[in-house]
Amino acid sequence: MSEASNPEYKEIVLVRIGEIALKGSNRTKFYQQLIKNIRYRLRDLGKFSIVQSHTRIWISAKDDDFPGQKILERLSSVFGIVSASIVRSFPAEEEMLWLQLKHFGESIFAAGEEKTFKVETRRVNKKFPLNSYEVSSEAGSILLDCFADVLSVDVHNPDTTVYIEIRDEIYLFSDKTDAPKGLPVGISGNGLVLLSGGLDSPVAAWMMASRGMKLDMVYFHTPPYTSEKALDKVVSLAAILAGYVGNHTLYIVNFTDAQLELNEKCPAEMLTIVMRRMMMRIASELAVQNKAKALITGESLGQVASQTLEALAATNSVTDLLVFRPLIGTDKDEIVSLARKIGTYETSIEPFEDCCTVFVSRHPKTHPSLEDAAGAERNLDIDALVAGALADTKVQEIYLRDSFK
Amino acid sequence: MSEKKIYLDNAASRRIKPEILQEYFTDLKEIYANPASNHKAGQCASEVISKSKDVLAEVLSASPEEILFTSGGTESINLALKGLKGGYPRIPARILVSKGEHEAVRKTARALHWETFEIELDPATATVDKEKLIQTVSMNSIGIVSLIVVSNETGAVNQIADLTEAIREISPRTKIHLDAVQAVGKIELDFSSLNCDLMSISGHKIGSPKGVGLLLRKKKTLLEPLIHGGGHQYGFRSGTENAPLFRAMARAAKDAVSNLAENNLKCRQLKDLFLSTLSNVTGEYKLLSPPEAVPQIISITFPNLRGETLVNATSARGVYISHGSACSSIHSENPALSALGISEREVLGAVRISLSEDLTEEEIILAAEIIGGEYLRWRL
Repeated sequence: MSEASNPEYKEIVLVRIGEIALKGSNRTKFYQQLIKNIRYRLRDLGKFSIVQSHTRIWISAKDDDFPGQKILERLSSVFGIVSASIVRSFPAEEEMLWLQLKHFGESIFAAGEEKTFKVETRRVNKKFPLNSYEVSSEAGSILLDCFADVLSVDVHNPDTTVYIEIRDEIYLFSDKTDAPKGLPVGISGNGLVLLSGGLDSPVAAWMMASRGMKLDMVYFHTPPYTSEKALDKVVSLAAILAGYVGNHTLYIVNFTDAQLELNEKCPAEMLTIVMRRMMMRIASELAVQNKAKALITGESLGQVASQTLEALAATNSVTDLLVFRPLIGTDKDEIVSLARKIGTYETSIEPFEDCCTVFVSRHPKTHPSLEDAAGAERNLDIDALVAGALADTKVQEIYLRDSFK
Repeated sequence: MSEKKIYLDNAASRRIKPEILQEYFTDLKEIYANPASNHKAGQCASEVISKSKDVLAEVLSASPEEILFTSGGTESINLALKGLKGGYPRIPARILVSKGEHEAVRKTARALHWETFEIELDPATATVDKEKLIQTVSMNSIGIVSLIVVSNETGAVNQIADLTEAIREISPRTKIHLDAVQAVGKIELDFSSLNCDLMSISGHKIGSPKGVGLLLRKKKTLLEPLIHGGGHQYGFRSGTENAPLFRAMARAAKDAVSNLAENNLKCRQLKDLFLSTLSNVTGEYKLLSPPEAVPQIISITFPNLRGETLVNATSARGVYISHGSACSSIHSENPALSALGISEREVLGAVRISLSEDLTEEEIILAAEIIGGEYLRWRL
């Protein structure tokens, strides 16, 4: 087909929204936050009009260039979105539809690659002369005529579904890019994640962000017992997470002095618990300073000695803040598969030690009472240790753009 | 910290010698033709390769036809072991290695899916236990033996001539491969008189650019190639030959071998200086390298600090060493050190300091003081 005979259409992106649509009177707030998040994510790609209508958001270009694929890529990590598609829109005229359909078919059905398909039509505009069943069957037979060599119909389990929506304009599209659902980040207050280099805490962060929480993160660095590579790994994880949570702050606490003092003054079997209590205290201070209302950890009940019910109680008792442990009831396999899905797995499994493996007792106490924990800290000047660690904390800003490949 | 950097990880990789680098740059610019091409430019490149082989043959006491260029030590080892398996399909499917082998040999041996025998080290000398070797070879019909010449972990030198002779006597048909990656330039190597079939050598450990190594192959030794293609290098290793890189490798080998005695003497002095300076700072270490080890590789272990932590701490002070044990695990993952019969704790506390003759006494004194000082500062 020659260039000249290509019919004109406009490309837009259709964004489908899930849970927000169920919200009551707060719905507007949710939409506003989501549109704000989308706008921020696309700001380096061009100027766009982003409009909400019913349970959908439509993104169109204000200038000529429309980087549809790039937009889909960015949207695929925005919480609050269910899926998105690149849509061709054109006037709601019958002949125009058939012409567009053939042209669209050329872009999605490559020669030599056999595919099954079906057509789904939604007719909102009742003025359109054919009903939705008629449109689907006519569209199906046109596509079959044009691409007889590769296409066959399968209405139950097709490789490709061609969607036709007839409103004031006609919208034509096929593929959907899935997004992570949930609620838009920023709608559920602020939290502070205790981020280690491991598999769990990044997943925990992702889960809370999926509930709309805005997050900052804290990492406890223990040089030279933990290497600069271990720190780099945490920074990389924070950057991957920025793709979901947006710009955030990573607090890098120098924990060495506190760790050495603990090592000297606490019974070996209680070292891990006391260390975690110290981390909780320091994180709580940071959270309060930064108006975060909750701490988030990657703990999972019974996973290791420091995550038994008693150990968690002992760790929890040093803070008044809410502590969210979204992984508490999950097992390692589930965590691994989530880590793969969100893209943190490869980084998390890089083999660098963290302080938990260096300062570890061979026989940690698995069921410490609150009295055990307090007793183990008898010889410590807790306030001074917390203050010292806070004074030796580096602040590193992590930007959304760090997550772009 | 803006202190001077002192590089004590020469067994991992070395600085390219400046004069080699300069010649290599010039060669890259000028010798670009394919040595297999029939025109003059091709011939010129081909001549460079042939001269490089002559040089290598001379310094390693081999003949030029016995030299195969590879991408490095690891490829040489893979070609040796897998190539022998393919080249001699009827030899017994059993391989014998020592517990002191480099990972490249251990993992390649495992990849053969043969029965593997691992010979213990004699803890006193950190070298292969000859009695046990002889016993194993006598009682089992072994297809391939692969032994390290100089340990990358401790610098211990296996009595290779002695061992290979013993193997040949019991089992003349057993194929023998030697991993000489850490040996070139540190001990005398005479390929012609060594009772082996194959020997692997790496370029960047002796001051050439990375990406080149050798597999020395006694004539008539059959190898199934790993890399098929245009039939270069007698078909054993296809791929356009890299004249500039081969010349750099030859020059590095020549430098290393011809200055061997002088370099060893210098490194011996530096090693003694290092240990005596360290002892002045702290006596809390144990030397794991045996007295007969090459002076360039010093393995020591500290009782109250992980090797990895010491590496991090000295790195922050500009002194670059390496640790013996794999990171991230509280279990020792270093079979070569574990084979010395030391405790897991001692394996975890091990660091390797590897010297080159380019270091100065001032650098060695400073480095020893920093290593000892950082140990005392962070020990637990």
